[in-house]
Amino acid sequence: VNVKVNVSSAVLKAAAHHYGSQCDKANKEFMLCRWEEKDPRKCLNEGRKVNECALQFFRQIKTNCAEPFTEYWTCLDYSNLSELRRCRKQQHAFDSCVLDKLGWERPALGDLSKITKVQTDRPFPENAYHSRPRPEPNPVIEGELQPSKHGSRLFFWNW
Amino acid sequence: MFGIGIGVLVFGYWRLFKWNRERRRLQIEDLEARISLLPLLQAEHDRRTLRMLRQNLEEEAKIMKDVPGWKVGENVFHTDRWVTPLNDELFNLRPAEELLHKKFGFQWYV
Repeated sequence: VNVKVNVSSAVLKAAAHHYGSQCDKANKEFMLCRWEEKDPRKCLNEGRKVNECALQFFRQIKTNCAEPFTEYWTCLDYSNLSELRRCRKQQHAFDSCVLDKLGWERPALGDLSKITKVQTDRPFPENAYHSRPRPEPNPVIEGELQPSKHGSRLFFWNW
Repeated sequence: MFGIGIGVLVFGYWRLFKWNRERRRLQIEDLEARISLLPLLQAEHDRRTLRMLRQNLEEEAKIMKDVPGWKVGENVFHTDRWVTPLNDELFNLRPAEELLHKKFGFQWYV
């Protein structure tokens, strides 16, 4: 059953770092599928898993750490550009609450942009671009190659 | 006098470089938030596109029922790989406001 994740953008940005470290597996599998197959129709299952993971994530936050999270994202919403540096206090409160109750650590700066290896059961698609069979490569030239007689013969040069 | 001036200049530059490095760190943080949210947004966008294509297909079947020799949902290209549909194609049968939102909504946000 596909239910939309019904949250606004400030909420998403507030929780993004924790979401990145928690729902990492489903996210990476979906992105890998998307990039390899280049076809959204083939990746609907992985997309469903991503959605479920996101819903689970927000459910956990709501049941455990609702108050600090609400304060955090209202603070983010207040600033014009949702700058994270304006809300360090609330972020700290939210982080400590989540660490105490759920044991999640906020990933350090640069952790989410590291290149990772993803393990899937899906086989690598051959010919994702559905290209026609490529022509044969040129046969190997046999025999000795000599410099051409009478020069290059390009237009008028004969050396 | 020159010493004082140059001193103030250099001090200003040092402050600038430090603040720029701090800004770069903040920008990395923002970009990481975007990185972690991308699968969610991409998945939702894919589902929306596919749903709109499905609806368009059904509408097309209804509209072109009596036209002879028309294959509903016929591929306009000679290949069978996924071709990302154009925005105009998707929003063809919907009010023009939705197409404008799709095209220019991000500009209003930024």
